[in-house]
Amino acid sequence: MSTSSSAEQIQNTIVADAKAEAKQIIENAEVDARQLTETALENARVTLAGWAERRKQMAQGTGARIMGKARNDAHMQVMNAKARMIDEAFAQARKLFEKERGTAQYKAFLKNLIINAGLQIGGGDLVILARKEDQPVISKITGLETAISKGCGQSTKVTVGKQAIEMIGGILVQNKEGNITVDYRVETLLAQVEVKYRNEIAKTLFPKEPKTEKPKE
Amino acid sequence: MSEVLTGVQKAEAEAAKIIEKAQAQAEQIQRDAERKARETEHQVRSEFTEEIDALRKDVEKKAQAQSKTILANADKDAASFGEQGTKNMKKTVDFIVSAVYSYGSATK
Repeated sequence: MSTSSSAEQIQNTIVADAKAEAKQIIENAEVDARQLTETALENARVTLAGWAERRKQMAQGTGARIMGKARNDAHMQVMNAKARMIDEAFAQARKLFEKERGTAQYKAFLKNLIINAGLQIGGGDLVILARKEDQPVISKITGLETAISKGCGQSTKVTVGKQAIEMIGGILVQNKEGNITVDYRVETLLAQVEVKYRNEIAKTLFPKEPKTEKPKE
Repeated sequence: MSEVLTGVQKAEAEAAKIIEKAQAQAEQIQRDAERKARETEHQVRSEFTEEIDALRKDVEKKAQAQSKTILANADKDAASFGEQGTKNMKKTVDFIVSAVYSYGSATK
């Protein structure tokens, strides 16, 4: 081997080694870079997982809120429709009472209200307060004092108060001292009926529950 | 002999350049990777945001469609109660009046 060819071989080896080393340097850098980005990606996913989960729950919550509002609005719509009909029934009942105020049934009703109120108070001197139109009717009712006295064992005197009361019908009964009042005005009785017979009234008005299909969750 | 030495020196200089260039390239790869790593959280957040926005839109769309059904059913129910109420009004009024009269019944 000549000196020149040997030198050339050495030179080639030096360059080839350098190229191999350079290749290795770049490969190592690429491996490190990949590892760095993969680790960063993994860390970011772990770091943001809780945040993302909360946002997902909020997104689901948005749906629940929309549905909740719709259910509430729907419930109110149905309740209002029912309430309108119940209000209408009571309005018509009030009108019916206004029409019936002159009947024998109404007169008997007043008599029994007075006796019941008198028994509740326990007899004694009782003052009946009523509509102006009902005052002469009540004055003509007989047997009140006897019925109350007999019922409660207390001597009873019934007088019709001069003060006329604005009301649909019925009576207010007070003891002489005015510290006990039994309120049997028709409007008060209607309010009591509304509370006491709420379910019965609803069942009479709305015997059938509508069978509309409920949306799937 | 001096020619041989010069040739080797040239080769070593060339090798040094190759290594230097590779190191520069490796440093650039490292810098790029570091920059990419820094941007990763932002990018992942954007991806999650996109995914969540799509989920929210889907959830809202479904909820709104179901809400429409719920409200349409409520309309029907309200109309049904209105019809029933009208049909049974007289019976109900009679019931109410009768209940009020019961307060004035002799057996009270």
